[in-house]
Amino acid sequence: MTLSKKDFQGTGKVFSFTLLQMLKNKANLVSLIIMVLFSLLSVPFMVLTGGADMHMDEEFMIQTAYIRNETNYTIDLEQIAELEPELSAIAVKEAEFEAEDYEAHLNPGELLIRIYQESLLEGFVVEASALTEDESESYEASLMMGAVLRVFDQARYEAMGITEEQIAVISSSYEVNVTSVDDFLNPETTSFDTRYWLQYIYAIVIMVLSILAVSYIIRAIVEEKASKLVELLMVSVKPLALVVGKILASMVFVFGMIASMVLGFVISYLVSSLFFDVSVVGGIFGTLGISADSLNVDAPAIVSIVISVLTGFTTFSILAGLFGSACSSTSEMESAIMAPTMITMAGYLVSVAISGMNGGPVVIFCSLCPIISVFCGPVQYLVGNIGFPVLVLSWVLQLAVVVLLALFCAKIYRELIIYRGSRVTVKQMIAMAMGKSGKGKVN
Amino acid sequence: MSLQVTNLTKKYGEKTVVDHLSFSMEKPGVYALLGTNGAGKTTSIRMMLGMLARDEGEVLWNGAPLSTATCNVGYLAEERGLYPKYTLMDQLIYFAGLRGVSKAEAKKRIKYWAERLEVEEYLYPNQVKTDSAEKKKTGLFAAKAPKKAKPKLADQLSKGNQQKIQFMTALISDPELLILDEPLSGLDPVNTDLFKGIIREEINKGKYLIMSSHQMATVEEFCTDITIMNRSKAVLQGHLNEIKKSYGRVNLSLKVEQDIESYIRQAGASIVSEKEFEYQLKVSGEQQANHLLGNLINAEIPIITFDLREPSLHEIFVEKVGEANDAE
Repeated sequence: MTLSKKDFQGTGKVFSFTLLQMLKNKANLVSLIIMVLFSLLSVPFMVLTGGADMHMDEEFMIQTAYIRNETNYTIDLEQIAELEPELSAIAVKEAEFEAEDYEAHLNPGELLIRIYQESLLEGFVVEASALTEDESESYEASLMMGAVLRVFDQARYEAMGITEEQIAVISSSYEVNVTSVDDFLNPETTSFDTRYWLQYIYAIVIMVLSILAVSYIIRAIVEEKASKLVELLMVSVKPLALVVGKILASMVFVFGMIASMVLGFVISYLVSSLFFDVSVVGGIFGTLGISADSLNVDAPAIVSIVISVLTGFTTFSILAGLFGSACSSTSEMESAIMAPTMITMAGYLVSVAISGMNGGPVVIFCSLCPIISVFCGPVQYLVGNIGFPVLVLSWVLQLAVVVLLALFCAKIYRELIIYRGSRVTVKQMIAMAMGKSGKGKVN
Repeated sequence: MSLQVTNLTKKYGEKTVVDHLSFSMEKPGVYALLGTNGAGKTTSIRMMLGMLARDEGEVLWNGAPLSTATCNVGYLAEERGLYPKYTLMDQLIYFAGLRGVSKAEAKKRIKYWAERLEVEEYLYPNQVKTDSAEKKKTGLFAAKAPKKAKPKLADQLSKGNQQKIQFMTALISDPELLILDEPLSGLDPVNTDLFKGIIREEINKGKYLIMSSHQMATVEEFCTDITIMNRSKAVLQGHLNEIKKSYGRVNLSLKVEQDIESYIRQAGASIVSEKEFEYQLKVSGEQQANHLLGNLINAEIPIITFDLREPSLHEIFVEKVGEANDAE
């Protein structure tokens, strides 16, 4: 049997009805609302747990810092505030009281920094005291301590007649690099962290999307079969149109869910930036080695990702359609979902396993292999491990799988979708396609 | 208009489930497809409607292959169902849309059939609720404005009412060819009459109906032509009245006031059943029946009932299927 335009007549109506009913479903709506709420709250949550400060005109915890220098070195108090712009609001004064009596002299919002040396043979001690622990361990106290240390060091060097340049030369760090000939000839374009985390995050997103879409498609098909409606529908619609309509509706619903989440995240970011320092969000990706500078991110790369995702989704959806049609009751749904889920998981695991590799035949093979290529093809292209021709070849191979699956479905969907009985196995499906099976016989 | 089914055949591997089935309908009426369980009736209907691929044969409507493009078909499947969690109205509009009926037209037709099949309260719960609230308001204590009722879902309906909605889905496109697979199974006597009335109306409108049923009395009531199938093959086909005529009047129902077994034996008839001098007899024909009647009159035995009939469809069915099984 070959595919013709007639096989898809009515797809639009099945699509719109299925999508409308998915949107009317209370459980789906609640899931959607929860996901959007999570994404809306994500940036404030990241900012607050990431330790960023509100950059509003809030008052500092420390307003005055008293410096008690008990050493022989003279330090310039005015220089302390100049070192850190954030300290400009804090008044720096010389402490004219004994350090032991600080409790009697300090008021709330005041800090005492004492610099002293126990004996000539021991090092210097810089300690901070305040009335409360919150004040002594505050961000400003920590900044103030750092500034005092730097000014004090400078005073010590000046006293010994050493210039800043000399200090820089003495204290500069050095790095030891051991490079193999292979690494020298094939230098890494991106770091291990970048490759690993990018692959890990991308593969997880694709896996979640695929599993969600697969479960929605299988549920939509099995519910229809279990409701004994298929026969009634097949008077008006061809089985392929029935399944394709459901697949498209489920894909649009899942993509809509993800798009809503992304939109929620963007809104959350924009609104949060009005009140918080949201640089922590970029910082999180930065610590994972992911930044636009380290990747080949441009418009063609984004288009490439979209093409890879769509071809992959089409494959998983057709598989879901097949496994869904093989069931007759909702009790068989879980085992039907299991097969495409396992295939998705396998693709995910392989892609993560090769994420640390810096190119090579294994990476190229996995980037070309259908199913696995959905998970790793675009990432390997982004990090520069494969070229554009390899990526295009991976699409061609994936599309070939889609066409083969579609032709296989065209052969068996009509009998499979009308079939009622125990779940049809892959072996039985192949027998059906070859016209050797009695499945589909209902009387 | 005409329907022509020729050599319809379906095989699964080595097993033939429908073997060269042919029949035709040259004019409007009801054609019955009868058969034992597993005889191939539903498979034949599915092949006719293009749901199942056929290995051989063709189905023509007005000379062109039967499809939704060439014929407006209505189908009530044997395995009936509705989406349990979707509203009835949404489902009916969807089914009508698939059959090419616009939303506005579908709403009109749903309204008509809802009234006709007495399921308005499920399809228009607010309208029914408002009507009853209006009645309450006229009382001494006016009732509060009624809450808007939620649209009914299919799983909130009884089986019979679900069956009415399913019947609506078959009728909503106003089909030229209506295929009903066991249309009356599971219905109570009131709803059976309601369905029968609608089927009769459709026949009067000049529709072509194909009916598959195990209820022989119903088939006899509506059908003009029949095919009896047994184990994938047609074992008897033709015009129902002609088939019956070919069997002759062999069923005699006789009610008297005393034991007449000796007269029956003497006439050569056989007793099928007897209860309080009410006999069901099998005779060879009118001559044998008249001979028995003559003997009873001569003996001055009062006769309450003497009814000589052709065999019923039920008897023909059992006989034909039995013959076919014996032959195999």
